[in-house]
Amino acid sequence: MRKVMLGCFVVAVFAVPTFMQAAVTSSAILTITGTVAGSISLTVEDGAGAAGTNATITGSGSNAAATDLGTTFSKYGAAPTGWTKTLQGTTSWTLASNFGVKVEKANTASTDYTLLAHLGTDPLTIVWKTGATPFVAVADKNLTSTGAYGSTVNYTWSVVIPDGLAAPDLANTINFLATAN
Amino acid sequence: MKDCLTVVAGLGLSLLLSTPIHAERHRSVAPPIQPLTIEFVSVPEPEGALIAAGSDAWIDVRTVSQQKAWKGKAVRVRRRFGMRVHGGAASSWATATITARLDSPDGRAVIRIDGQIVSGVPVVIASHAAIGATTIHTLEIEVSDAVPEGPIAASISWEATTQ
Repeated sequence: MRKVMLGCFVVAVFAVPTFMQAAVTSSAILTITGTVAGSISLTVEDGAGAAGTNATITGSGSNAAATDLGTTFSKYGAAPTGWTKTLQGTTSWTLASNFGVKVEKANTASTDYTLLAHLGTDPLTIVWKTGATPFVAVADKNLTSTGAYGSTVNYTWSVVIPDGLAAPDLANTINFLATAN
Repeated sequence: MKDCLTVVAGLGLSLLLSTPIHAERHRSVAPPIQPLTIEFVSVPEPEGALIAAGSDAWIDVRTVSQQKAWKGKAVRVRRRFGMRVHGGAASSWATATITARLDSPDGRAVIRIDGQIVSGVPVVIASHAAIGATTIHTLEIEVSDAVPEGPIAASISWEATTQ
């Protein structure tokens, strides 16, 4: 009798009502398209000169940085923090400091870059320069034609102020332009 | 003989119990299966919307490139879109499981849906999506800086299964 009842149970299990709904499936496709474009990025970085020779860069690591020399600097006074001062007799004096430029690349096969720079406005008798060549507003100065991506390149910049200039205003902008080679 | 009669009676009882009370006596008819469909829905996006056509849709993320002064090693583009599973007017289903699978990877981009990487193996995007309700999902395209420039082309297969 037990076997019979077991058989009945098995039959009942397999005879599950046929109106139960089976899982239903539906499908769809989402297509994604786009274009990866190569790009490079330029940031102004803190200088890598000796201690005390690096200007305080506000916004270092970005592409819009600034440095403030303060309002009271003079030939015979203290140099602004991070700047060194050199006197050229009675004709002029120079403030010098270091800053860095870093160019990175993404999604491009370019192996190096060209870096140009020019001033925002011509500084009249004040001379801004890196190395020996002064910056000007009307033309780009070539800082390098073979810049290496991914590393900060240190530049020493200097501002030559003539003694004859009363209340020199150093406010200016240096515009950098990096181009992938 | 008695045992045979008992077996027959048992079988008859089993069949009787397994037959629905409301079913017709001589004919067991399954209700018609309502079609299940997936619909993509646009949501307001400043960078451009999804283009839907039936159960299929297209998202063009346009140009993907690093921004000025980036810090990461990859660029990510995100787009939101809606999805709705229809179960038909007479549907008795309450929820569905939605899965996504990358059909054709292009090797340039890592694709995520709601933060989950989508690969060739189906991944569950929603385990209990309410039938008829729109759910919002985020598509993320991540392109490494090391990937050469060129086109992105991928397709994701979606599947909704009733529970």
